[in-house]
Parts: sequence; C-alpha cells; structure tokens
Amino acid sequence: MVFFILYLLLLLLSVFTASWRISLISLGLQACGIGIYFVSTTNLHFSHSVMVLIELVVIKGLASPLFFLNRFKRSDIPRFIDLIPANLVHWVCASFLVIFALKAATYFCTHSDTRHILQVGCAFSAVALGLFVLSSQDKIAGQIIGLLTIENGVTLFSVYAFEQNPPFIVELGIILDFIVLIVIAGNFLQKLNTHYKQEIVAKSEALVPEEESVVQETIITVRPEYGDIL
Amino acid sequence: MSAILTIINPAIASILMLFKPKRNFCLIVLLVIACLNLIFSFNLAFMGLDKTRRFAGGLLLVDSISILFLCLISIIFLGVSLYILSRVLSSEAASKNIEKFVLLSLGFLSCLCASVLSNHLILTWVLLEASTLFATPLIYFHRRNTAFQAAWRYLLFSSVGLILAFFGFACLQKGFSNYSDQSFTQFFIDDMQTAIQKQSSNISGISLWERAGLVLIIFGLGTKLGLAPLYAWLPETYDEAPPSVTALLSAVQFNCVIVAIFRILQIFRSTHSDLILYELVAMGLISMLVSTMYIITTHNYKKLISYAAINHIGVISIGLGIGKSAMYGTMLYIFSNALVKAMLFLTAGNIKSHYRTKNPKEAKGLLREMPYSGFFFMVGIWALLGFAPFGSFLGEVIIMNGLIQGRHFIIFAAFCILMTISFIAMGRTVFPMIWGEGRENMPIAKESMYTILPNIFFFSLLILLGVYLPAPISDSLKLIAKMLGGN
Repeated sequence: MVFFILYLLLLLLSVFTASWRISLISLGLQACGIGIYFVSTTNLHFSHSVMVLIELVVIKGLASPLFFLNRFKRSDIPRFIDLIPANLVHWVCASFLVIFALKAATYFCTHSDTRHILQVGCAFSAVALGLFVLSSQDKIAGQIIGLLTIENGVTLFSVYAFEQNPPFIVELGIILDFIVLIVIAGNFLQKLNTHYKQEIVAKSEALVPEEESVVQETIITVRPEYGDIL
Repeated sequence: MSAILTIINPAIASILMLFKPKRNFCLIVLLVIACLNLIFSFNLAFMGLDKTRRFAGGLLLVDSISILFLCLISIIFLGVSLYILSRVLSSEAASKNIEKFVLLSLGFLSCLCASVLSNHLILTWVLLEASTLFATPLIYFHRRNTAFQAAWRYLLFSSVGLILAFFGFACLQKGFSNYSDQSFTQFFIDDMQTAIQKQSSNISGISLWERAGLVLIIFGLGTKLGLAPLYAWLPETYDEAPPSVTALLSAVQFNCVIVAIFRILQIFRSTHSDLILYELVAMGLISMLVSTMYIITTHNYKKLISYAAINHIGVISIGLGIGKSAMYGTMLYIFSNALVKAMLFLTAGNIKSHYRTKNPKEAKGLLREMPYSGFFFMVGIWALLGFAPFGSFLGEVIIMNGLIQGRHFIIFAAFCILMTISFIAMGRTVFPMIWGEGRENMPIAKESMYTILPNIFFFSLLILLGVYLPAPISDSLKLIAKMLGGN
C-alpha cells in the first residue's frame, strides 16, 4: 500500500510541478517502481522477470526519461511549463479527477482488498490526469509528458489485470513500439521547436514594446508550398 | 503460405531500401511487391473464402474477414503504387528520397497485412501501432511546415487512442478472470469466440469490467478511425499528407482498424447481439453531425472529402451498432467507401498539382481542363453522396432498412436529415468544380495513364459492388455479417 501512496504522490508531483525535469524524473521513478513492485510481488518465470525489468525499469524508467531530458534541453524548452494551467479552476478539476478515479476504483473492485483498490485507483488517476494534461496543452513538450503519464497509468493497470503473459513476440512488439514512439516523438520535439524559433524571434521583434512580454511559443502556420508531390 | 508471403515480401523489400538503391529499382520493387500481394491475396480467395485456417502457432488466422480485407487493401495499394509511379516519372522533384518513401510504404503495408491476418488481439494492437509509426514520417515526407504539425497530431491522437484501446484489453482481461476457461485470458480470437459460445448458458450478462473494456476499446479504435469526439486529427492529416499517403491512410489503414473492431464484435456479438449498440450509434450520429457542420463551412476540397469521410465513418458506426439486417449493408458500404476514398484522394492530388490551389472556387471546369480526373472526381463524388448504381447507395439503403426494421425511427430520421444536409452542402461546393466555367484559354492537362488506370479499376469495382456482386463474394459478405451478429 505504501508503494501506491508513493506512486500517487509522484504522479501529482509530475503533473502539478511546473518543471519538466521533475515531471520526467518522477515519470521515470513511477515506471521503475511499477517494474520492481511487479517482479517482487508476483511469482514470475525468470525470463519473464527479465523482460519486465527491461521494459519497465530500463526502457520506461531510465532510457525514456533520460532521452527526453536530453531532447528537452537541446530544444531549449523553457525551464518552467505549466502542465496544468496555474489557476484554481484547473487545479480543482484535476483534484476532482483524482477523487473520482479513486471512487471509480472502489466501484469496480467491489470484492478486492484495499491494496488492489488503491492500485486501480492510481492507474485510473494517472490516465485521467494524463488526458487532462493533453486537453490543456498546446505545446508538444507538455503533450509528451501527458502521453507518458497515460502510458504509466495503463502499465500499472495492466500489471494488475493481466494474469497470463502474451506470447514473447507480442511482448517484444510492445517494447519496440514504445521505443520507436519515443524516438519519433523526440524527433518532432526538435523539429517543431527549432523550425519555428526564427519565425518567433522575427515576430517578437516586430512587436510594439508593451506587447513584448506577450511573446508566446506557438506554432506559426506559414503559407503552404505547392511543390511537386507524391 | 500465401498469407505469410503477403507479410514477409513487403517487409524484406522495405529492408532492401535501406541500401539506398536507385530510383528505378525502388519503383520496380514497389510495383512488384504490390502485384505479388494482390496475387497472393487472390490466391487465398480462390482457395476458399469460407475456409478458416490457423497458422504461425495460432497467431495468424485466415478466414473470410482476413481474405476479403487482404484483397481490398492489396487492390488499393496497387492503385496507389501506380499513382506514385506516375508522379515520380512526371517530376524529378518527386523522386527525391524515393527509397525512404518506398521503405516506409512497404513497412506500412507489411504491418497492416499482418494486422488483418492476426488472430491475437494484442498482436493486432501492436501491428496497428507499428503501422502508425510507419505512416507518421510519410505524412511530413515533403517537409512542409504545416505537415509537421499535422503529423504530430496524427501520432498523438493515434497513440492516445491505441493506449486507451490497450487499457480496454486490460479491463477485458480483468473481466475474464472470473471464467474458468483459460481461452478467455489468452486473447486468441477464435478460441475466445468458441469459449464464449460454450459459456453462453452460464453467462448471465457482461460484467462491469468487460463492459468498460469494450467501451474503451471502441473509443480507442474509434479515435484511430476518426470517430467523434476525437476526430480532430483527421481533416488536417488528410489535407497535409501527400495524396498517396492520404489514400493509404483513409482506404488501407482505416479498413485494418475496422477489421480490429470486427474481431471484437465477432467474439461478443454471437451471444450478445445488442452489445455496445448505444455507444456505436451515439458516436456515429455525433460524427455525422460534426462532419455535416464542417462540410457546410469548409473552403478546401481536400478537407471536404476528409469531412465526408468522417460522415461515412459515422454511417458505418451506426450500421455496426444496429447490426442484424443492417450488417450486410454496412459491409458493402465499407468496401465501396474504401474504393471511393482512394479514387477521390488520388484524383484530388492530380487536381491540386494542376490548379495549384485547394480552394474549390479557383479549381473550376474540371471536366473541360482535366477530362479524366474530372470524370473520376465526378464519379467519386456521386458515389460519396450515395448515388446509384454504386455499392455505397445499396449499402446505405440496407442500413436504413435495418434502422426501420429495428424500430429505431429517431435514429433513422436524424440519419436522413444529416445525409440530406451534407448532400446539399457537398453538391453546392463540388458541382461548380466539375461543371463550372474553367479558366480561359487553358490547355487540357496531360494526364498519365498510370494515374488513370487505378481509377478505372476502382470505378469498375464500385459499379460491380452496386450492380452485380459475384455469388462467392456476396456469400462471403453474408457470412461475415452473420459472424458479426447480423442476419
């Protein structure tokens, strides 16, 4: 039970802090925690334990956050980004989502013990908060963190729900899919941020002095080109 | 063997592209693989559309659903390959990085063929995710500014949808833990179907976990299709992607996701015919409503076709939800829809490259300036609007008949009103394009035979679906409709 309370605290930390570094590190810790918890509490075959540790601890817990920490730094993402807009309405909505998620878990897990209810509640909270982050973010950096939050929530739930392991090739496919997804997402982060940096600078220089504080890092749509196409 | 070759051939050919071969070699490989896939698919069909065979350790399954959809996606991929050939031959700029384009396209095809043949729900999920990852670089292939954003939105929405679908599978797994039969928890489709039928007398109803799982799966896969409410990625992606990629996404990947939904319905609908009826119908009606509003207001013919595609997804969703006698019509509609979208998006590509605009007010007089593309655009629009004698007309009529027979009169009324409004709105925008006054003193555009050939073939199949369907195909569609709970 302590593990799930810690998981919930890490989840809230990753979503409510305005620092992407803390968010990514706590996402990594969440994944590592899920992997270690799963391996230590279930009687798994050795090969399956190795697979779980590679997927959850190495890839989702270490490689993915480190990869994005590096990419975020190289893309000059501002140090502080509000995943959930910093106002009372959004914070209250986010808090209600967590409460509803925990309530839903008690409704679904009627004959389960408190540990499982808390596990399902944490998973539901992660998915709900991840979707909430996605709905309130228009910047790619925040959207990536939202996506990873949902991913962790679904992983936590699948650890609880799946009684039988899928075939090896399916597990390998899931891992490869995740790796390629984060590589492509990292690529987009760099492309979308650096490509429009010059446009943003040019636009901000054209602003009148009192509007300079309103410079936003938004994607600027330029006139599409009608070159030869496939 | 043919089934496995439809997966392996494109995969090996895409690996060959890593060695950066010359342009002509890439094109030859693309066409050869497309032809081979078609031959292997038809070979499977001739071996027996109603036979069911399991192989690759039970991970792959050949049955009516997989054979028919394999044939469909092979036909469309061949058409798209011919289009790509014509574009590359007509323009030096289009041949830039062609080996990368062919690599991604063949990888995309391999994943989707495998997903259609898959007998394991999670493996289907993995392959759909993989196809999304192959498609994303194709969307921003020409590295236009807006294409990057469209590709990111496509990746984000698809990933969220598929993660929710995976969440649904986990909920299903939790729901199945109450059953003693291990077949439930292994996720092999044919085993699950057999197990549910055996247990049907013991199962009083669907558990909460199973219901939640099914809703999440339909919601997640619906996102991938472009069903409301998470449809926002579709018009932008279809608009910004190259026309060949749009045709692949709308006519090939779309149908593979439909197959995934079919597999879910196949497992559960045999014992619970009204399962997820309200969810599918609600999403369908909302999609139709939203798309109708956008069709009225848009000033971009490529986006217009995209919104019409959302409209059609809504119709398919209603048909799947209602089931029973509407299921056969839904099947016809799905097949016709695939051919119509492929034809329209490829033709829209020709129109855009000639007129250099996406504004329908500036692209007028198609039948005069581009007679072949204009003709196929006209035919495609007629089929899109549900005119006879195309398969989509027949499909719509059968779905409407199903609504009346099921006494869903309110849904029927909403369906008819929305179809009428979108018909008028589309016609108002598109008919001037086809028959309007063109630009003065413009020569007739030269159109390559390679762009015309696939459209001729799609057009012939569309007519065939509406006028005369060969008995084996009709029987196969009826069999699939029955498997999905239809009658």
